[in-house]
Amino acid sequence: MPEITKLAHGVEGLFVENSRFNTTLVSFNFYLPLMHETYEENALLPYVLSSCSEEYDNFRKLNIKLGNLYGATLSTSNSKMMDYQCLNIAISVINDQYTLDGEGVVNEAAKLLASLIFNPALENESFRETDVNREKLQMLDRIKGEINDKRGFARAKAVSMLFGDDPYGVSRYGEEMKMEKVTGYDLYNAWERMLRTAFIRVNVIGAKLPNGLWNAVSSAFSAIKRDNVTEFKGFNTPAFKTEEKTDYMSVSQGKLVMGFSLGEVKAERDTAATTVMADIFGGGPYSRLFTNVREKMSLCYYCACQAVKNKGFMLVDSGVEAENSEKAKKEILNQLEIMKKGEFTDDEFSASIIGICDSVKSLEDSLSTLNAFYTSRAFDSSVSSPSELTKLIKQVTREDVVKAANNVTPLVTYMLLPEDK
Amino acid sequence: MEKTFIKGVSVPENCTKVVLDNGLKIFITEKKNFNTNYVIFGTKYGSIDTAFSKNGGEKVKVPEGIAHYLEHKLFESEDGDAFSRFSATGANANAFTSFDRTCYLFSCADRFYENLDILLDFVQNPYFTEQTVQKEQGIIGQEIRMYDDNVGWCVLFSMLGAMYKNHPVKIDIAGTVESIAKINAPLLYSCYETFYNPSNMFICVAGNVDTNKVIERIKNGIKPSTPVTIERDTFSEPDEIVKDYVERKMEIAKPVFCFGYKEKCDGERSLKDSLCSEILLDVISGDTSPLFEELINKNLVNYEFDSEYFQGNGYATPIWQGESDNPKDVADAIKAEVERLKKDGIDDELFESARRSLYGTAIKRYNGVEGIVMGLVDCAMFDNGPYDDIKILKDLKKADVEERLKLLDPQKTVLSVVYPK
Repeated sequence: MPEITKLAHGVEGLFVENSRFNTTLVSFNFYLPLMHETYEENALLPYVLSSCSEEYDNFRKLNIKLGNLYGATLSTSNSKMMDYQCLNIAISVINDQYTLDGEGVVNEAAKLLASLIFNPALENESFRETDVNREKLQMLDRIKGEINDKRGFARAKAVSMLFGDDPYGVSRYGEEMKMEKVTGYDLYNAWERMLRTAFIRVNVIGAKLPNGLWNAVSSAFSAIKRDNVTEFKGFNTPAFKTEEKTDYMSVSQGKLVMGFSLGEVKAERDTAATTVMADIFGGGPYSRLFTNVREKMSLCYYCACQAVKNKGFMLVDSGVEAENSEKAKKEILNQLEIMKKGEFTDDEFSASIIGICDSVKSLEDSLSTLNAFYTSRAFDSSVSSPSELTKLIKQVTREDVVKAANNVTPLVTYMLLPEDK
Repeated sequence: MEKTFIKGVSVPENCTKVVLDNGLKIFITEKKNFNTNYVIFGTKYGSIDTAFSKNGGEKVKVPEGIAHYLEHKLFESEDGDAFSRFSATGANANAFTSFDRTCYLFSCADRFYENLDILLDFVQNPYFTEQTVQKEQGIIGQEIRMYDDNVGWCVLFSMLGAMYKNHPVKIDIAGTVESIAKINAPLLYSCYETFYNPSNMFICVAGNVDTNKVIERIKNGIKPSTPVTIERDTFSEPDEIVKDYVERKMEIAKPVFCFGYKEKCDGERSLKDSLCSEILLDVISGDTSPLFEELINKNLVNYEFDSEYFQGNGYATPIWQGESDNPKDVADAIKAEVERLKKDGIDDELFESARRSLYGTAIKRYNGVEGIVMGLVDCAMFDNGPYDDIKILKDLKKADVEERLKLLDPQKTVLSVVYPK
């Protein structure tokens, strides 16, 4: 059980002592309500913060500093998690004993990260126009570039169809028109609001806690009046939409994405059962979708499912020839029926339990997956470590899986097909 | 059997190298504090090996994409496929084919030795019939179609096609729908008998294992064999490029480009030369370079802009890839910067930042068993020691890097662009 330290009102430090890595990761996670009104400015904020600061006032100076810290990696992300928007800025750096001259770099990297967050480059209560415009252009390219990855594009379309006007349906980087309008003042307000109201979890994974990091974070927040702090109140499953849509584009391969509701998946036991159900249905190479749609029917190279349990939905996607798309869809639904009737084999059931438990055990051997594990469970005190999760998975029965499958309802189908078909 | 113990340099670990009497190379790194074990059983056989002779016999030409096809088919045996065997043990198994190698792998937390037995067994027991070979055409056909829609993949192969007249590196790893239609069971057996001889193969292991036990298990599981001599194609590739510019159109948002210099290359680059070229790329256009700052500030590239040193048997080219509304201006700016560096030399601070960064990257590789095994595979492929890169980077001089500039001939560049439709 990793140690959690309260650093300020709604600000926690989580230290996962792990000496198997040669690096240390310090990751600031800010959880804010997921809302249309603030989505784009929030999404842009971590990218501007991690591009320069008061001390390193242009990105090249900052990158030279990172290079000298042995290629310390600064990473930034914006994601939707339940009813929250999670902003993340993290740094990973090699541990002091591996530097060429024995110099200390971990504390310096942690200090650098804190300075980017708390001391950005500002001008008159606004972020600087050059920084905002530069990062905004990057974001606009990311938004427009979503079409380049046809698989991701089709999946995002299906999510948007499922969620309709619910803010979860917004595409990952936000809407182009709204992003274009974000100003330095908007970002300043978003930054001030983030520091004042976000629930904040600072994850440190490494051999030891950087000296004075918790004190530095506490002291930075002592100057900030924390109020209206984001609280975890469960998550809403909206009234999903039902829709079928086909778009035509100049592509070689068609994409088929189906969206399903998972029903009520809130209790721990239901979550574990749904994990196993989705895995037998379309997880590993032993899954029903892989062995039937790909291997037996040779319809596709991939056909897999992903259950987003903390938002109550599941996607199945496949890359298929246009003329096979209906056949693939029919077979996916047929395999779901087999799951509902409990006609999956004992071997498939046990392979899934063993496979999931083996993967969970390996979580602790990767810095990034371990960080993702704790980031996604910031609000969930029931599963405090990967081994707790393993225990829950092992308790799942065949009956639990059948019950979880019977809660699944097909809702949307999105197809992206070649123009000439 | 030859057995060598190799002590780690700068990292707290060691490696044991074994060469069996049949020529099979084995590399093992014990990571006692990890849960995960990772193994690759590979062969020095990739997509570029389209013409060869065995034991001085007649030269054979085989269809493009056959190495990758063989990889798919090896998972099948007379009594089921390897995936279902791994499913029963909970291992995560996979395989990949690149230009110069084919690798079969698994990772697992439990039942390591059982999994090792499965890996040894299925890779050494090919089973193809005309019917099973035929079945794979649909699946691989869809894999090829999927890559046909991948703009990064298409822009790279367009560039390689304009750069290389004869070298098969210009052909897609999976071949084409037409070339794989020519593949049959006898051809697959012929390639298997040549390249899957233990003298051309390697096994690399990292994890919570016992070195001696792993060696014994492998010795018991490897079938008796006599080493073979393989003569690979010499490619007769001219120094000149085919053409300096190619373009095509796809369904994307913004033009995507790939730009490279064709370097004169007869065999494979040494590790030191490759590392110097990687540092050179960082100096020319990395995050810390004046060129990157200029390109970003002029909005000529976005943060997708990246470079890599792409090399193998008979080919070597530094490559820049990214998105731009003016790819020709980007290519011109890179060429101008290369010529400036030839004249003015490399800045000391930039060299040191790039060297430290690459050193940090080498250290980070030891963070996980997958990174360690991938590094060991390179050692097996190119006869390097496991810690040679760290040793070289510790002593690397700026003059070594400047020397690599001489290979960049402004008359031998290729720009490939994919424009939006």
